[in-house]
Amino acid sequence: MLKVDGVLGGRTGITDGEELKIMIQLLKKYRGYATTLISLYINGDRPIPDVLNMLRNEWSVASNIKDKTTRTHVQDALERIINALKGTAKAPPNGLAVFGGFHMEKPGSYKWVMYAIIPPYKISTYKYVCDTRFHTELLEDMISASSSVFGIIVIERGEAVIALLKGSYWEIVDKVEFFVPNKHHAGGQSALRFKRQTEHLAETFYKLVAEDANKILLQIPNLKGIIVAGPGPTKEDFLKEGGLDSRLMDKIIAIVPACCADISGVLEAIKASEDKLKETEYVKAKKLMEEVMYIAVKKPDYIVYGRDNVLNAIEKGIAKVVLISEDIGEDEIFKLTTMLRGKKIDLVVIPNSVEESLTLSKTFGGYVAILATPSWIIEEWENASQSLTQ
Amino acid sequence: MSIIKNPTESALKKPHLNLAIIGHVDHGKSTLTGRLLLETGYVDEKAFAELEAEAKKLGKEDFKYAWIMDRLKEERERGVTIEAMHVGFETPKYFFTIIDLPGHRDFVKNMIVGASQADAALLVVSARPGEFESGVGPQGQTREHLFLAWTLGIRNLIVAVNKMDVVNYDQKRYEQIKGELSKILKILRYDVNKVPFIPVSAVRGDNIKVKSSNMPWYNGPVLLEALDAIEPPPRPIDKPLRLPIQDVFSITGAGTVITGRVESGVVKVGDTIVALPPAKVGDVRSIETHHMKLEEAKAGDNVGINVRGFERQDLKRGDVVGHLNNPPTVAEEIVARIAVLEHPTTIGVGYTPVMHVHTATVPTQIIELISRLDPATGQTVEQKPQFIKRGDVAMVRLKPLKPVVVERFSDLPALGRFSLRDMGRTVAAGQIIEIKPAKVEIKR
Ligand SMILES: Nc1nc2c(ncn2[C@@H]2O[C@H](COP(=O)(O)OP(=O)(O)OP(=O)(O)O)[C@@H](O)[C@H]2O)c(=O)[nH]1
Ligand SMILES: [Mg+2]
Repeated sequence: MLKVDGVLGGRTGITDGEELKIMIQLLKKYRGYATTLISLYINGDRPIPDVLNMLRNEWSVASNIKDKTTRTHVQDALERIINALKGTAKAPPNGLAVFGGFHMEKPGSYKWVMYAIIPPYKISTYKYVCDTRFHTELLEDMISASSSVFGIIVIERGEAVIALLKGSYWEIVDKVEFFVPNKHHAGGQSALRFKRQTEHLAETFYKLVAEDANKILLQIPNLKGIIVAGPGPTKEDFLKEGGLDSRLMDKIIAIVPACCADISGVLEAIKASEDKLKETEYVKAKKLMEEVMYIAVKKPDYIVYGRDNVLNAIEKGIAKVVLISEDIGEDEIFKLTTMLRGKKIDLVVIPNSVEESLTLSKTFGGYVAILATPSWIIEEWENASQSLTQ
Repeated sequence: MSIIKNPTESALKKPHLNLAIIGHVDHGKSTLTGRLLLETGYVDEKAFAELEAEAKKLGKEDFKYAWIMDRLKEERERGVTIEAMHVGFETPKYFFTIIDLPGHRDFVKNMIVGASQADAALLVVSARPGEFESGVGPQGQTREHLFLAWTLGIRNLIVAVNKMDVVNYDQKRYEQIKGELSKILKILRYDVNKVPFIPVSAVRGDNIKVKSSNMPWYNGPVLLEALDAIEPPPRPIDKPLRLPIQDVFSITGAGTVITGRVESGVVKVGDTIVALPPAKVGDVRSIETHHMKLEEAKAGDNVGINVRGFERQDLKRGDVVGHLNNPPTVAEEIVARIAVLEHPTTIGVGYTPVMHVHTATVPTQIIELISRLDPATGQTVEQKPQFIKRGDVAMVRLKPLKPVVVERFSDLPALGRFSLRDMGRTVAAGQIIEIKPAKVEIKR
């Protein structure tokens, strides 16, 4: 992402969904005086002169607006956007989203903002809106449609949860509890009758879980895969006797052990099937944090943390991957994004939905850089430059 | 007719002890438990003959003793114990509640719940070549169960070296196993000289009730003698009532019954009690142990309590019962001292393992590493460490992700010690030092 200042050339887009999400959050904060904020979606490869004509047309239409402040805001914004786009032949393959307008800091006080975004996913429609806010819905749809969803079923005797892993977070969406008696309740009654009754109840329970799973998971169009987890043979019995829809059965990508039908079981299920989920932002972030912890202990020279140290490592060109926590705030994230643009450094925002984000914010002050060369090089470097100037 | 006979009234008048049967999968825990019951006349002969016939028919005759304990379809099909099973039996001196526990690593959760109620543990290890070795290996449950038993405060330990028939009752194999286990026990600080190692065969019945002629070289006690010689641990009767719930069920016509072991205090028929975290209040209608009615139950007793005012769906395993004037503590945050047993990399803030405390199992997040301590002296060696790793002892702040009852270890040890597990491994053991209580409103 870049703030547009006249020229479009040489610009790269927002690289991932995480970055886009933060951008959306920022865009949502702006407010216009009346309907003066312009959201413009240009579909991929569209000729820009074509777009400019439409915008000029909008400019003339705007001269009919009665309220003077509104009129000048809209026309002024259109002019600036036209100027920024001028000279470009066509939109990039993924398209371009432009947001421009005067943000009302307080009545009578306005600040010009403009963002041109080349999103990580394709824009397929042309859209122009003028409103009191920026329209981010198209970008939001993009995120939810692009991130694949994984279903997770954790089942124990008498207890089960269904969770969804969506991009950068997971959530438990259903819990099934059912009374399947334990062994010692047999006391007094016929062992055989008890046995049959228990088996029957176990089967009823499997059916209830499968029913819920069918209801929830069949509705998800971008369901990529299903993980079935739990202790011991219960999960296999569930698959055999529960009656999970055959379309869902086909989507099972892993059957793994997990201790409990709750948060911890879901975490274990994700961890145990990490290899099959590595494309999700959640697992990517988790694995990176794991790497950070590993390096911090085994090769501590290859890591720096805290804002100043990380910025220094970036400046000196020895940072390889920079991890920042969502907590440090949008403005700060933008600053770093801009700073790293064009550099061969990966910037990863660790979302708060990842458990280890707490390590990043609490232990490392929100900033970590994995280094290409050991950190002592910086010191040597500084010493060397000092001796040169002496 | 149940296959296990109910204890007589005179048996129930003896002092009670809870015995956990622990050990690696397939080492013969259920078989040995079945055998103990059989030898002491607690198995109904007619019912056992039927069970024997059924096992034979299914080609699983070698499991006939284990099936006295393993009753679930999935247990019998796979030949593994899944759920803990409580049964009563007696020695000359004591009335025992035996808790036959699962050895399979997927069911360590159930093992901990059962073992948390025990005064003593009987570790069953198989002498069969390879079986003993996998049990004490790094992933083995012989090792893990011993560690958990120590963490749970079990200091009375007996080792049964089982399947001696498979190794021709070889004294060398016995000595080798005893030697290797002694090393692990010493690391855990068990007093090895006080731990009997008894060579047995659960299937053949050697050294269980009478001394076996197959092992003339052994001159220690037989299993029943060793059980009879256990020193009962102190019972905190004068402390406030705490009963962690092991199970809840409803009996048509009778109402809701909770089961579990009274960890401290005394509960009487007619008492008003409260279960936390759900904050449900009820009146004790009746108390039972092994089908005998009691007027009161005290620390150490394993009981079923029929409560007016409790509904089955409101309560679950892990909830804790106490009296209204001194209710159990629901924790919002916990400060604990933990010892890291095993972790592939390192533990930082944000780590989210499972906490096992009394009968509760709750996901818990480490939200602060307060300090690192010298394991020998307990002195602080580092304030606010960035991470802790295997072998470290540390003070940490924990946040249970679901409401759970705990107590300070110094007040009520049974509710103040816990283990942390993750990805099928026991990662750490801990003791609760401080609790930030959650606000809970108790309404009648
Ligand atoms: N030869 C021989 N086999 C034994 C002996 N004790 C147990 N077994 C066999 O070992 C197998 C496992 O026995 P179980 O009693 O189910 O073992 P367990 O320890 O209860 O297993 P889990 O509860 O699943 O951990 C069965 O086939 C038994 O017949 C013994 O003393 N000698
Ligand atoms: Mg068993």
